[in-house]
Amino acid sequence: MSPRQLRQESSDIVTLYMSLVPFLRENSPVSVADTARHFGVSQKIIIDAVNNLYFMGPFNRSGVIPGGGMFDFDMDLFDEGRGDILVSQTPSLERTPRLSAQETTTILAGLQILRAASEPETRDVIDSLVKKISAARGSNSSPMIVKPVTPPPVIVEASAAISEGHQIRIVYANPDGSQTERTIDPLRIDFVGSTWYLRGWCHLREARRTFRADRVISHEHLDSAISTKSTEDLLQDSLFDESDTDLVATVSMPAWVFPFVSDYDPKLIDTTPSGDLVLEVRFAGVRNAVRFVCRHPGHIRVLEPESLRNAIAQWAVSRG
Amino acid sequence: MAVSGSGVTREKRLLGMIMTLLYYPHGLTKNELFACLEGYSEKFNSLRPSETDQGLERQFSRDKSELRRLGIPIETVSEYEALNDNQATRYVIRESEYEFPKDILFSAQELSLIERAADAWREGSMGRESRHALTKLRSLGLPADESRVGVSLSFNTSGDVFERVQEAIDESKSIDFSYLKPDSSTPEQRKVLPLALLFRFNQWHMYSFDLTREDFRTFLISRIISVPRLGSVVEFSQSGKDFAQILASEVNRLYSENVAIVEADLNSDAFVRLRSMFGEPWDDGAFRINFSDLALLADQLSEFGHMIRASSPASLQSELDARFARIYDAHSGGAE
Repeated sequence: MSPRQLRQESSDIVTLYMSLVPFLRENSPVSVADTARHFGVSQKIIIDAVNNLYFMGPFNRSGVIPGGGMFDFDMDLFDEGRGDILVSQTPSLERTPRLSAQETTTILAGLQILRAASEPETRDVIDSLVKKISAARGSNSSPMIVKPVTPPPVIVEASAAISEGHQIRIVYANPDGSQTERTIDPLRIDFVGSTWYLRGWCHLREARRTFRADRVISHEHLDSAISTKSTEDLLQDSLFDESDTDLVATVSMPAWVFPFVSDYDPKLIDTTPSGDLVLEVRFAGVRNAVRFVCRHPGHIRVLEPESLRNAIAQWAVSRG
Repeated sequence: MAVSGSGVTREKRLLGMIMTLLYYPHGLTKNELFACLEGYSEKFNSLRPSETDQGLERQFSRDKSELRRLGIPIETVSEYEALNDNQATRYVIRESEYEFPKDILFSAQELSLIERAADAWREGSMGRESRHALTKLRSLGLPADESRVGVSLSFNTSGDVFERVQEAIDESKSIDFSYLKPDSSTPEQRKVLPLALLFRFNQWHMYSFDLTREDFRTFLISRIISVPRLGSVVEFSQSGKDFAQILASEVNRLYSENVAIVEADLNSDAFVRLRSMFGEPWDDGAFRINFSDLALLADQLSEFGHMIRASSPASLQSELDARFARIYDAHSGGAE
């Protein structure tokens, strides 16, 4: 897992310390680097945590309770620069804390979406995992249910191909109505809002490509292994490469619309006096821009370029 | 770290409270906590015996709710209940309630699935909750199976609406918000007690008790156009029901009752995608599409423009035409 730099809110720090102590108890001695990697935080955060915990413990009226009340780390080992954490005494926080109701809910909801995209064996694993996590919550009913629509069949197939490192062949309907057969090294599946995408290396175009799963007409799981060497650069979060999205437009919309277009990765450039947002958005073409304004017809307005405004207006009257 | 007025960071204060309450199995009264906790004691010990301080009280109440939000079960135990004397209320964290159940263990594969499930929220306002869940579960020790990235998920829940609704459900509080019905252009002010959330048919639905209309109402999160304002705790006589299940059957009923009939040009982009979403067209060449709300369906179908024709319900095509007219109006003539 790539180390994600956490925004360190106070709740993040409290949660990290509560979780770090039981981990260190089980794994000490362990290096700062390994600990940081395990929790997906920077080494500095772990070093700060150890330095802070060293002076913490349960309190009584005269301060931290002495003798048995404090954390004990081997600070010599820690300071020697080897970066090892050796913990010999933990007066508190020895156990992994339970998940809160909302924490449990977010994990369970994510698992339901993941399940929809998974092949049968993984579904079984997820089902038993859902039972375990629900049991840990201690209450049966949750105030949240997530029932994803069944994804297009290529998603489940691609998900299996990814875990096996195999290629797939698809017939893809291009937005203009033409069809192409492509061999793909599938690398990642994205579910964004309500749309499933398949990302991979396209051997027809010899480039990274993002495919809408609902445009995949047929698919075939190949026995050949993927040939892409590096998958690293596919892990970036932006769905589309800048090269796919050559049309740069300025658009405006009420602020409440914004969350529903966030998959277009819009950049905020201004706010109007009435509170509307002015954004820069990249489109792959006019069709793509039309789809964008149709997310909330009438609420989303392209301001520039003029040629795109005209094309959208033309599209809106030419129908039928 | 954010430093509060007393020079003690909020996180140190919260951690001190957790450690201290875990240390005393019978708990402590508020004054006992104030007297010993860093971040409280500096001010508290300078007060006269019977004096109270509003700032300390407020800070304590904020800290308590923050800890509860983090899943730390602070209970209050009253020894002299009949006297209703706040001073005698003891605050307790029971280790058995604090601790993640010892008998639940995860495999590396399971942990990697949890990592990906948590990632679904990374861009939304619930990112914090899923981040915390991950941190806690990682403390169980096992490294996740990193073999392949596979599936990445992202709900469209950025913005504060979703988080505020969650918070209100969690704390049984009312919310106020402006709501734009799918078929309307004038927002309404609503005041409800939210009860459950459902993601179904690619929409977040909120089930709630409407405090003005005194009845249950279902809302679409995507149509809440102001950040909900949290109100006070509502005593609700029917709490304890499985409202998420009630909402799920309600939404299912709506979708099964309403069917639209839509034709698409053969092999057009619309045809390919409608077939992928709603299955093969019937013998008459038209797709059958279940929906809950006509205006919402028209929003969803509008991007297909002239590639589709709606024959049923009768008003669907005119709803579509109205949208094309709105898009035309927004894009004809010079930009403002």
